[in-house]
Amino acid sequence: MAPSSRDQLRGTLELLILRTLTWGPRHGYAIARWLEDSTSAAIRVEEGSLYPALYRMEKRGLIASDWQRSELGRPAKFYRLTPAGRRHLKQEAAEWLAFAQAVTLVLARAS
Amino acid sequence: MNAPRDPQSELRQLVRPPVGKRVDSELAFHIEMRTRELIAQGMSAEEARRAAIARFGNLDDVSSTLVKLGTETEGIMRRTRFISEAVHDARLALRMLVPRRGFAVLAIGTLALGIGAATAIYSVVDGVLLRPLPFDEPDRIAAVWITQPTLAHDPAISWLADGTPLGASEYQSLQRDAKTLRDLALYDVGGTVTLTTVAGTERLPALTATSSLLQVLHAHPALGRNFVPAENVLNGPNVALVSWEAWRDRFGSDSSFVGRRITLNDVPFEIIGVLPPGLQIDRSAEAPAFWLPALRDSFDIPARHNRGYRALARLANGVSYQAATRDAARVLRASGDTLLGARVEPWLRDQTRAARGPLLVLLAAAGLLLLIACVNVAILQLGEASARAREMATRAALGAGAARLVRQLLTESVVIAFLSAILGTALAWLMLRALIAIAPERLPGMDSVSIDGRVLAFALVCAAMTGVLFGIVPAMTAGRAGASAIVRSGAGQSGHGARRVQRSLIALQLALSLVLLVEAVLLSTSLRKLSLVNPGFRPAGLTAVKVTLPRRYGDEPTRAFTASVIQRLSSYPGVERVTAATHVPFVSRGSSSPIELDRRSDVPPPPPHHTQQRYVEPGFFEVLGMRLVSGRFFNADDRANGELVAIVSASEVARDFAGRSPLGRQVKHQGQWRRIVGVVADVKYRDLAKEDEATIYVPFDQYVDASPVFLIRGSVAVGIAPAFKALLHELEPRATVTTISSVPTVIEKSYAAERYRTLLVSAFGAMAALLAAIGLYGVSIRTAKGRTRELGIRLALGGTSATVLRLLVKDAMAGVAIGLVVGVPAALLAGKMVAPYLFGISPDDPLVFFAVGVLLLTATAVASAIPAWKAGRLNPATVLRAD
Repeated sequence: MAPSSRDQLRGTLELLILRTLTWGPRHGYAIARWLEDSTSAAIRVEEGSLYPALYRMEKRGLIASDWQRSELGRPAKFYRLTPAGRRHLKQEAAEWLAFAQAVTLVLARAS
Repeated sequence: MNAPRDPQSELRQLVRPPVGKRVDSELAFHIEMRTRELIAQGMSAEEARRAAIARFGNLDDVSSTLVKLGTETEGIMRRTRFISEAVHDARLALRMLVPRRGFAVLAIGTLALGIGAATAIYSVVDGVLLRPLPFDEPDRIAAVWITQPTLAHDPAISWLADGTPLGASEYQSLQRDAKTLRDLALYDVGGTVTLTTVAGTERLPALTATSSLLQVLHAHPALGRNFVPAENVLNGPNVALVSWEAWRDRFGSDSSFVGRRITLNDVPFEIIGVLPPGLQIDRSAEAPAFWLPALRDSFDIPARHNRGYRALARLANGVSYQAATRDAARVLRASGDTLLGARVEPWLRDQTRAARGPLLVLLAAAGLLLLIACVNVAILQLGEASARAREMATRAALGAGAARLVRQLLTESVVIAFLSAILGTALAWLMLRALIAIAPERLPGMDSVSIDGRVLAFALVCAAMTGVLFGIVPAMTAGRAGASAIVRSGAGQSGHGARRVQRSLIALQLALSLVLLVEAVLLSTSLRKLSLVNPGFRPAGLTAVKVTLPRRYGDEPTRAFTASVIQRLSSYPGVERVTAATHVPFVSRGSSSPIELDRRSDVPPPPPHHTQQRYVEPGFFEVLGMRLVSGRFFNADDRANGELVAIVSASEVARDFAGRSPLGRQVKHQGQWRRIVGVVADVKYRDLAKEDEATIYVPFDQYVDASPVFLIRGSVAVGIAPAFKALLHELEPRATVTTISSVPTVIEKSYAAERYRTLLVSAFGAMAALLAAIGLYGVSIRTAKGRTRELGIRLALGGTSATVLRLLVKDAMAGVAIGLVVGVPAALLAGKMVAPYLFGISPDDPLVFFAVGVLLLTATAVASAIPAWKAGRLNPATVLRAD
C-alpha cells in the first residue's frame, strides 16, 4: 500500500509543520522560514503549498489558530498544536522513522 | 477543542471579518515579512516586493483554495462549538439543578405526569384511530352502508338512519350498477354455529361472507380455496372455510383437513380451505372459527328485503369517497326506494366511529393536563429565576451576554423536559397497562396498542415543546430585564415585570384547571345520575340464562322444552320463580317490526310504526318486577290455542293512542290481529340513558320466534350453571348454554364505558387541581419571601400582620379572578365537546361552574394565606437588617 508520491509529500509536509509547532505557536511566515532553515535544499517546500496544508490541517483539527499581535505590530494568524495534532505527530513520526530505518537498512545492505 | 468562554473572544466572534478578508491579510503579512527580509539582504523595496510575490507562486490560486478551505473549517467549528456549548450548558444545568433539588423534583414530577398522561392516551389514539389496517392499500377499502334519513326522528329505529346494513337486493344492484365500487362483499360477523364432534356440541363464533370478501382484502386462503360466487346462492352447497388459528388449535394443523366433512348446525359441511393467519375482520370481537357462504338462507331472497349484512368494497382507481357515496346513493335510489342514501367511508374510520369521539375527549383532557403542567413549571421556574437573580446578575457582570443567559435558562428547561420525558414514558407505560387492564370493552385495535417508536416520538416532541413552552417565558423575562436591572433591583427581589408575568401565568393555569375540573365534575355528575336511573324493574336477584336450540327445532318442541325447563328449575333450592322470554333487558338484543292499529272513528289511525317486540312467558312481568298500569298481565290461559292477546308499554300508549286506554283495541303484529289486554310501565332495555321505546309484548306460546332466555329470581346467581347444564343434558342434549349472567352486573356493564371515561377525566381533573395548588403554594412562598423587605418596611411603619395578610392574599386573588373570567368561557366551549356524553345534566350547568369556582378560590386563598400569615409574624428589625 504505497502512498502516491504526492500524498507522501503532503504527509511529510504535515509532519514537518506539526514538528515546528511543538516549540510553540507561530505564524505562517515563521513556519516557512523554519522549514527553509532546517530542511536545507533536500526538501524544498513551496510557499504556495504551505498555506493550503495549514488550512487543511486546521480543518482536520490537528492545529488551531488565533490572531495575535505580531512583530510588525499588527495582528497575524498564529497556529498552534491541538492535542489531536500532538497525538498525530507522535504516531506518524514513529511510523515514518520505522519506515525510513527499514529502507535505510535495505539500501545500506544493497550497496 | 475548547469553546471560547471569555467575554473578549465572544466579542470578537461578533465582529469577525469574513473568511476572504482574513485570508488576504494573512497572505499580505507573509509577503510583507518576506519583502522586509529581502530588503534587509540589500534589495530595493520595489525589487524585494516583486521577488517576494514571485517566490510565493500563484497568489490568486492559493488565495481561492484557502478561502474554500477556510469556509469549510468555519462551518465545522461552528457546529462543534454549538454542540460543545450545548453539552456544556446541559452539564451546567444539571449541576445547578442539584442544589435546587426541591424545584427539580417538583418540576420533573409535574411534567412527567403531564407527558405520561398525554403519551398513554396518545398511544391508544394512535393504535385505535391512526394505525392503518393490516391490508393492502387499506385506505382504499370502503365500508358501505345504506342511510335512511327519514328514520332519524323515530327513536325505536333511529340508529338505522345513518347506518343500515345491506340486503341481497341492494347487493345485487350495487354490484351491477355502482362502477365506483369494486369487489363489493357482504359479511355478517355476529353469528354462531354449533360444532358437533365426538366430544359433544360447542357454540363457536362464525362469519358468513360472500366470495368477494377475501378479494376485497387482497387476501388468499393459506390452504385450499376461497368460496366461489356460485356458492353464495339460495340453498347453496354446505362448504366452510376454517380460520388458521382454529385449524392450528383445534385440528392440529392437519393439511388433510381440507376436504374433510364436519358437522355444523347439525348438518355436514365440507371444509374447502384454511384462512390466512392473523386475519381479523372485526377487531372488537373474537375471530370467528368458521366462515360460511352468505346468501344461502331463505331470508336472503332479495324480495324479502332483509338487511343484515355489512359491506366492504374497493374504491375504483382515482375515485374519491365523495364520488363513491354519490354513486352508491344514486344506484340505491334507482333500484326503487327514493328515500335511501349511502354512506361510503374508509373502513378504519367506520370501525372507529363510536370510539373516536370519547377518545378525542380523553386526548383533549390529557393535553390540557400537559399544558397545565407546563404552565405550572413555568411559574415555578419564574419564581426560581427571581430567587436566582443574584446568580444571573453575577454571571451577567462577568460578561455573559443576554443571549447566553437566555440560552442557559432554555437549556435548563430542555434538560428538565427530557428528564421528564424519560420518567413520563415510564409512567405512560404503567398508565397504559392500567388503561388496558380496566378497559370495559375491547376497542378495535386495543390489543395492538403499545409504546412504540411513533409513541416515543410523540413523547419526545411533547418534551421538546414543553421545554420551550415553559422555558421561554422565564428566559425572556430574564433576557429583557438585563444584567443592570437585575443588579439594581437587588438579589432576592423579583422585579415588577416578572411578578406581572407570573400573575398572568397563574391566571392561565387556573383557567385551564377550571376547564378540566368543570368537565370532570360534569361527567361524574352525569355518571351518578345514570347509575340512579330506575330501569323500571328490579334487577337485584335476577339471573339470565341464554340457551340456543338446534336450528329448525320446531314450534311445538320449543314450547314443550321451555315449559319443562321452567317447571323443573322452579323446584331448585334458592330459586323463587322462573320465567322465559326471547328478549330480556340488558341481556339480549332487541328487535322491532311495524304494527298496525284497528280503525276507530274518533282518532285517525296512525301509520304503521316500528315497535319493539318481546315474546314472553306468563310470569315474565312478575319475575322482572314490572309495574302494571292497567288491564292484566299474561296468565296461564294465554297459550298457543287461546285468544291472541298483547300487552303494550306506556310509551306505546302515549305514541299511538294519544294517551287513551288501549284496552280491548286490536293491534296487527307480524300479520296477526291481537287484542290488547294490558298496559305495563316502561323498562330500560339496552341503555339507561336512552328514552323509553314503544314496546309490544306477545305471549311466547303464541309466536315462537327464537330460542328462549330463562330468567331466574332467587339467590342462585351464576352458580346455577352446572345444575342448569345437567338439566339441559337431560332434557335436550342438542341445546347449548350461550351465556349465564347476573342482571345487575350486566346493567352496570352497560355504562362501564361511561364510568371508564369519567374515571380518566376525573383523574386528570384531580391531578390538575393538585398541580394548580402546588404551583400556587410555591408561588405564594416565593412572593412572600421576595417581598420580605417591603413587608418589613410596612410592618415597621405600623402595618399589622392583618394588613400584610390582606395585601398578599389580595394579590393572589386578583390572579384567580382573571383566571375565572378567562376560564369560564373556555369551559363552556369545552362543554360543547363533552355534551354528547352527558346524561341528565347540561354542559353549562351553573351549579357545577359555581362549585368549581368556589373550590379554586378556596384553594388559592388557603395556598396564599399560609405564607402570608407567616410573613405577618416577621420581626421588622431582623428583616431590615438582613439585606
